[in-house]
Amino acid sequence: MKSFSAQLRLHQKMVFDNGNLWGPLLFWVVSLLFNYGAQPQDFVGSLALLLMVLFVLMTWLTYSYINQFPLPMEKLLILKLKQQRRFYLGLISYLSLLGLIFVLIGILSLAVTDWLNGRQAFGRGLNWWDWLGGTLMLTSVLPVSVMTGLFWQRRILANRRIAGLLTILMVVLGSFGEAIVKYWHPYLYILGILPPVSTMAQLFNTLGTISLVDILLAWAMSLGYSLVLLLIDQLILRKRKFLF
Amino acid sequence: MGSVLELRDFSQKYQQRQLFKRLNLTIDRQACIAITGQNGAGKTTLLNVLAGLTNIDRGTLVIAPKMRIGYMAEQLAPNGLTPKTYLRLLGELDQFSNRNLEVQINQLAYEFGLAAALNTPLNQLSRGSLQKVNFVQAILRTPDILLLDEPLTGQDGTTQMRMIHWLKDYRQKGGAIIVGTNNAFLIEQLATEIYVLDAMRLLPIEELPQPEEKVMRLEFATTPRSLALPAALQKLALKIIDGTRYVILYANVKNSDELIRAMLKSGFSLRGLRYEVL
Repeated sequence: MKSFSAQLRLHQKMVFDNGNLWGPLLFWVVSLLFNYGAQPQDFVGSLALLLMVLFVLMTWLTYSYINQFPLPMEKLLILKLKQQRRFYLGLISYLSLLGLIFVLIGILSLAVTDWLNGRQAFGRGLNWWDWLGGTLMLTSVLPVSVMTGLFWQRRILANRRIAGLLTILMVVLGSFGEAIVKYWHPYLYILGILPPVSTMAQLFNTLGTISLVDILLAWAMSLGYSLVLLLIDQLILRKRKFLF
Repeated sequence: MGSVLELRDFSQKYQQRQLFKRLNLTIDRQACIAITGQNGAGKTTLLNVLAGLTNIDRGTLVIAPKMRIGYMAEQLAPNGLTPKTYLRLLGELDQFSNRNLEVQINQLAYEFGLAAALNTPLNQLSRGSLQKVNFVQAILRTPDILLLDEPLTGQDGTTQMRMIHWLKDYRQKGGAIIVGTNNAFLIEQLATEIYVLDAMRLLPIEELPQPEEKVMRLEFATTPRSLALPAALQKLALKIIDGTRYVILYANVKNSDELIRAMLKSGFSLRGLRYEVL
């Protein structure tokens, strides 16, 4: 536990030191301001849009952080922690915690929007389930965004240009997947290998309310996809390790 | 004493290129193995292998149970953390108890002349100071096996001597050291076994070749200028260059220890030392 907490503090200092947080945070604040300006709107619809934005910026934050994380430091930490998976557990936990803060800022901004507009900003009164469901809905995208950002790290693909391009492609094609399918049906088959973010957002967009089944499905999709990526990631890293 | 680390019949390829072929290496407690070799021979890669940081194509690496490994890479990647924070976090990652950790950091920082730099961000430190931080993190929670990659790089003479002293003491107390280096002075002072990494193989050598004409060049600071050179100098040194700020001495390797002692006793500070051809 002590070493886990030390890991979290180390990542926090490194994120602030590298300045990886500020771009995505600014992006998030601007998105929330846009969301505030676009009234009147549907509560679930605006959450679905924020879910996609959150996916983009958490992938961006994760990718830029792992890209700047020095390899000798990673090597040293793994040696101190004695196992590679402990290092990744700490890293993923820290990034998820950051994501959770983003989610809370997002939910808080929606609450402020609603409050400033006499509780009618979203065309209807909101109850506790809307807020809890909204939080769970936004949180569901965190595993998939962190794992997408981590996937094309330096130890997996040394060419940073290609790695950056592949990450952007995964993010863009994953986010607009459902829209592309509407115009070109065969894309449905490609969608299976991309992050299921557009499908998750689509799930919520069908009803005007947040259903528990949709939340469970979104979490299952996000966790399932993340676990597959994590497995591939760890298998490659275990095989490669640090020869040089 | 049983061996603490053993590498058996180790071979490694990287992208169809053979890096190592049937390497064997065993280290016991109270021993120091020096691995030398030309640049690119694979010293750093071999240390990574010994630290368990890479997979082995063929052969086995056996590390005795409950052995703690200290690893000092050739360079420390600088970042915005201060040495104090960096060392504290690494110590905590290593399950070091909080109270002892603080004391140990301060003690080692003082010992290796790092105390004044403890609160300066790593990316503002000189290469030598970074290397000191790197050394301190490796020995922070006294390890059972210490793997060092060119540990004396960028260090002034006094710190080199302090590091060597610490390592000698550590070895005598039961520590095992494997050091990848081409520094002849370090090898001579510390190594109990010397290997040269050449053409994918690890070859044991009795001692480093010491050509007759090779001598030790020692550089001392003369401030304050009033210091008088010790009388023994005439007998021990082959050549004396008495400058305004530095005294440079050339001596046979066998006389160098006695000469350093005499100079330090007279109040001079050792600033640098290396082998040279006179």
